[in-house]
Amino acid sequence: MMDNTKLRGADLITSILFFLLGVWILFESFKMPLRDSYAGVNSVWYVSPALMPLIIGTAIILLAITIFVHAMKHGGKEALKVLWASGKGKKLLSDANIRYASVLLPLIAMVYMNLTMVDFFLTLVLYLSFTISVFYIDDAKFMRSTFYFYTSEMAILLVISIFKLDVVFASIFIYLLDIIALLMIVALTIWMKLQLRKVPDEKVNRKFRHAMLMTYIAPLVLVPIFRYVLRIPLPVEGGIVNLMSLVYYTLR
Amino acid sequence: MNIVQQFGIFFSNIFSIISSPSLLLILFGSTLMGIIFGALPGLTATLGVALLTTLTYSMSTQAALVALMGIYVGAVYGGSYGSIMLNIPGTASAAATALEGYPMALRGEAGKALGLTTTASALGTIVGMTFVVIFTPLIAALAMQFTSFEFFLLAFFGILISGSISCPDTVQKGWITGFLGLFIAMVGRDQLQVYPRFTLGMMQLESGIEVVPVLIGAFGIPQIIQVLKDRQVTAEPAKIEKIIPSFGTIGRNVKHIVRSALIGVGIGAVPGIGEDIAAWVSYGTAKKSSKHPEKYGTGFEEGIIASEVANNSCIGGAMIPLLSMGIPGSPPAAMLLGALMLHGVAPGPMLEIEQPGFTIGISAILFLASMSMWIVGILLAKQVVKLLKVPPALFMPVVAVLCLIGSYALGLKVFNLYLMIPMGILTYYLTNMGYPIPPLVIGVILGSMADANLRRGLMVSQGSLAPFFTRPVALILLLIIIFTFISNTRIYKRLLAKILRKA
Repeated sequence: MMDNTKLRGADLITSILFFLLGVWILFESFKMPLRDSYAGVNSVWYVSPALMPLIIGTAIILLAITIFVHAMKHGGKEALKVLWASGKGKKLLSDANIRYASVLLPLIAMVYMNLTMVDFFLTLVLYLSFTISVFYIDDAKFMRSTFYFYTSEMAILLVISIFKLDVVFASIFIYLLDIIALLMIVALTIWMKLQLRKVPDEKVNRKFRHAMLMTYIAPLVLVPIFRYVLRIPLPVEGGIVNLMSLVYYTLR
Repeated sequence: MNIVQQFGIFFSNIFSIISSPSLLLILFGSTLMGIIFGALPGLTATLGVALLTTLTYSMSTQAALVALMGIYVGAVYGGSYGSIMLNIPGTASAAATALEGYPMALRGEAGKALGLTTTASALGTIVGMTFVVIFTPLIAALAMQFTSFEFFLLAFFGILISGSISCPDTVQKGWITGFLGLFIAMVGRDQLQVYPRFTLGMMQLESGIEVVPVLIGAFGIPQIIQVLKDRQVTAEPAKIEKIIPSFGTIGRNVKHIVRSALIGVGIGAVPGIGEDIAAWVSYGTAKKSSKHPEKYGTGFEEGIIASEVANNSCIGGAMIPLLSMGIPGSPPAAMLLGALMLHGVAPGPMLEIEQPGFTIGISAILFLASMSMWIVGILLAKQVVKLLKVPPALFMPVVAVLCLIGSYALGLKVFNLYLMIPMGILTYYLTNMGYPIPPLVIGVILGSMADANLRRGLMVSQGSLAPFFTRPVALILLLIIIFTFISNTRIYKRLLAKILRKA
């Protein structure tokens, strides 16, 4: 939990956000049928779909006000200044922010972009190869350079996604995007290996080998379990998953 | 059903499980998995149950329950490994164990400490199981008398009490997250008039927000962010020689075991309050009532027994409201509720009518889970301890992948994942700012029940609020809610302090 010098300042912000949420809930609730009829059913206030949201909205507003008042009484203003000052001095691309972004960016890229576009196995490898390597090796310089490289790869995939180039690629060759993703994985691995060459520590290289091993073992175990044991169709079954299916159904 | 019949069902359930090699394998496998989940810092019992739920889709209900109860019991116990060997609790529920377990390990008594936690945890689970058998039918019978008003008040009470107890900061923060959970449950078409609420015009939201992805997001994603964001230092575990079951010590501490088990069951039965609070309350009570309070913190056996018996008996306690009223007693129980729903089991007062013998079946599984936990604990603790050397950065991204596949596998909707990520980020920030997550989860689970019952009740009474005051149970619940609310106000606290000073 946040330390007390900043907590009350954060409380001011969250209470305002909660207050706005409460107001929005009430605003939306009043649009619901309260007394008038809906779909041929005559409504009365006590069966209205707005009843519970009205209670919730009111409760959130009242509680947000009490949190705000409590924060103000307990040094919220000063804490807000401390919070503001601590954020102000920080560089956008500080080590801490890069570390935080290294957790979130791959997760967001995987869920909102790669999962519906790239082969599921490759999506997992792309995510794991970056995340496991940077956090297991845990070197600020290595993390930063690899993060920039990974972000530029994701930027390329973002462009492909925005301009719907995946459809164009699929019309040329159905697995073209998978090949691009595979090349990205290879490029990322080479990039990381090159970065680690600068560190003449055998321990770090051993860590990298472990990270790579984990990167491939996990999807090699999980994808077949979910696809062939639990029979769950994967979001995108591209080149690799189809190859797995070919092997599985041939052997079966 | 008389007591002989109940025993008959209990033993037939036990026999059917132990006579099936596949069920035995699931039981021991899931318990071991639970112990590993509990032992590894960063992984929790809730996350373990959540992730295993996705693997139980294709199993029979009995096999799924064996797997889920096994991992639940194992994970709550497994937390003690990190506490004893590294002084880093594997789960929050084992934090109190670290105070006594680690000093014992430093004295070269790690094996003794682990043996003590293993036996104490097994006993705690069995006592919890006994309470499930006794109290679930009683509470379910009482709940059969409930009308819509009582169910609405019960849901409301669940949110209030969970918010009051689980909040690390001001109580209003607990309540507001409860209401936030209720709001999330309102999204989608309502049950009575099928009116779309808060759907923002999105077709995917019309059927509402599914509970399991929300739970995985709320418990899994913040954990992943926290563990990866903070630099983890992997410590060398203390040396361990032989695991000693410590029956002698257990025999000398029967009084502490009974008290701790009662505390665990009691706290477990309160909606949304987990094993961590049970362990701390029990540890604190044991210290206060001990003849040697000065020995606490130096590796005192009583302290280990107090926290370990309580956190494992809490499992049984959490199952009582879950099975009798459909209200989960702890976060892992909330996850278990989602799993039960996936298998077509609707916990609540009608459970025993729709599926006779289900509660006793659960008790039998709890009993076997405690036995398998004890056996695995005594035989494999040394091997599991070696896993403590594995750094979280190596397995946490894989856990993220499991969260992802798990949420997707439910209904095969990518949209579930689109919700899971913001939910996870939101709960991460809320947790960091002192807003507890259990009330939010309770709100999400009980939201539709509260909504439908309030409106149904008012429909029957034609809009009259009188049943809130004229029905005895409703009135009691209302008074408890009012008291919970007032007891957390400053005026009440000041008044109470004044009265106490005068007395």
